[in-house]
Amino acid sequence: MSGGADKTSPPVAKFQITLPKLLLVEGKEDERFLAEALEHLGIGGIQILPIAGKDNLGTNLAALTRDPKFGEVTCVAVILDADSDSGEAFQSARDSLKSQGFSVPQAHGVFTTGSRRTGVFIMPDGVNPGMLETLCMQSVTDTPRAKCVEGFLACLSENGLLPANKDKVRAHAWLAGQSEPGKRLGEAAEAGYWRFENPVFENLWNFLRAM
Amino acid sequence: MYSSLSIKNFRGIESLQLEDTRRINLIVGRNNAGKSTVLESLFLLGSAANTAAALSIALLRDPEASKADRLWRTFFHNADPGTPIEVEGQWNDQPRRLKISAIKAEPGSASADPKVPSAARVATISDSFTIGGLALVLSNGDGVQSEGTIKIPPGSHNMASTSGSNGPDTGILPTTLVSARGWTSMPDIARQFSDLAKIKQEDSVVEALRSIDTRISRLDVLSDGGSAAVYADIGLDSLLPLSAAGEGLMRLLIMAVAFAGIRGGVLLVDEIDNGLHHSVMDKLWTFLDQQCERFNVQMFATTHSDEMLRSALRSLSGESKRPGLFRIDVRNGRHVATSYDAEAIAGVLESNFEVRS
Repeated sequence: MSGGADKTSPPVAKFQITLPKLLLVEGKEDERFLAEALEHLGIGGIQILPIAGKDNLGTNLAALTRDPKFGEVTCVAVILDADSDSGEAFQSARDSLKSQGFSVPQAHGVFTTGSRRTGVFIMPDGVNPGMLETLCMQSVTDTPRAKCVEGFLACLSENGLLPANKDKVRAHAWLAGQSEPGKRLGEAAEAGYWRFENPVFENLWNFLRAM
Repeated sequence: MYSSLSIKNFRGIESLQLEDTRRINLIVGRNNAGKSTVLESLFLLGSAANTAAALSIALLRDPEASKADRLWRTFFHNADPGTPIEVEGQWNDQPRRLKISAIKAEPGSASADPKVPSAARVATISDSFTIGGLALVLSNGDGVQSEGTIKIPPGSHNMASTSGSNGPDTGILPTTLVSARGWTSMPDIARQFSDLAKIKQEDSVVEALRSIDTRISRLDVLSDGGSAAVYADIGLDSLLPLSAAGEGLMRLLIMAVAFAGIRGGVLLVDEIDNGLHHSVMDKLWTFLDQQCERFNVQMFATTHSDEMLRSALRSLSGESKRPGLFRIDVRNGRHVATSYDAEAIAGVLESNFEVRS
């Protein structure tokens, strides 16, 4: 463990490669969500690295390739949010991988071949704009709370208050309405709120299985 | 400045290259990875064909050695004196090469160290190479710049140096090596501080030491039993000798006073974190960066400390100040230097990657 930058902050865990398969995700909540998903799917041998935003993919890959244990890595997978443009997100990920000497996947969700495979999955489905929250809400769209949330969004819209990122508003409003409100996305996965068995997750699960 | 370095057949290193070195460079790696050997290589390369420098480096590791073979056998990779040592750097875009070859001990010389066997029943004769001395040759793009040899002549027990027509010191690059343990004598430190005071740069040393002890307001060189010593004013009725200070303060003093004597040259510091509390590290790097810039000095430092490493990466930010960062690993018996560029350093800081092996 490394020391914190000041006396008040706790020590920050050092990232060290410990498993041969690496999954790079945007943030801590994505990490918690996918860790829960891997356990649900019974998939082991994958280490998750949150990169604090898709803009940091290049610098994280640069540091990763220099890690003392990088020679033992056999698979690098990247899961990013499309946000407003899925194609742009995929291309940006490919460019970052290429600049650091990785093999470059030709399509979303499909791994390259060879001794060190790479793959990129753009949330929610490699086609539409959106993010992990989009998939999560699609998995609970028929729940009573989801219908209430749509009412909330309609009210915001009527009053000119609806933020651009509707999927994030939906997800957080839905979570706020739970019996234990205030859980974040990943925490909610750990608590079993998201319906992992819903077919909307199947492509993502297949990507994880293919690592 | 050196922009690259190549080492062949020196100590444990058969071959190692460092590319794209910068104003300040950090070298990390496990014990026995060759970090100190890289610094020793740079010291030898800077010393041209000066044989006293080669002797200093040998004695750093084995202060008890008195025989030439014991002194220098471990200079050579696999202790094989048959393969010369080659250290090469690109200095200000010009090649600078040092070749060190072993000289075989002559019969009858003290280096041969004959041992009379007692009651031997088996006689043996061999052609083992007993090292009697070293031959050093420095060359650049135009050819040989300087040459020197150091060996024990027959009938003598003392090493004698000889040099080529240019002299052994032609082409010397001012270089200081601060080893991990032990340090320069106080009179030498006092002399270096005086050199800084002559050019009105003594305040920079005071400023550096105040990062460890804020009581220090002034330094002075005083006579101490006939030899010069550095004293500090910490607000008491009398000045205190810095020789009584802790390891961290002494090492900082040694680094701080070195700059005046190596203007345009190279500062090498082994285990730079020794004796330093994490709270002074940021200030130390800022000081070293300023002094390297002021005196046009290039610096190479080794460290085992993650805190020291990250302090450097944080304190020396921006493209012009970014340090070179090299991790030396031994893979399948071969030395490999992994270099961290700006992007990789950003990733290390963002996600707290482990850099050391």
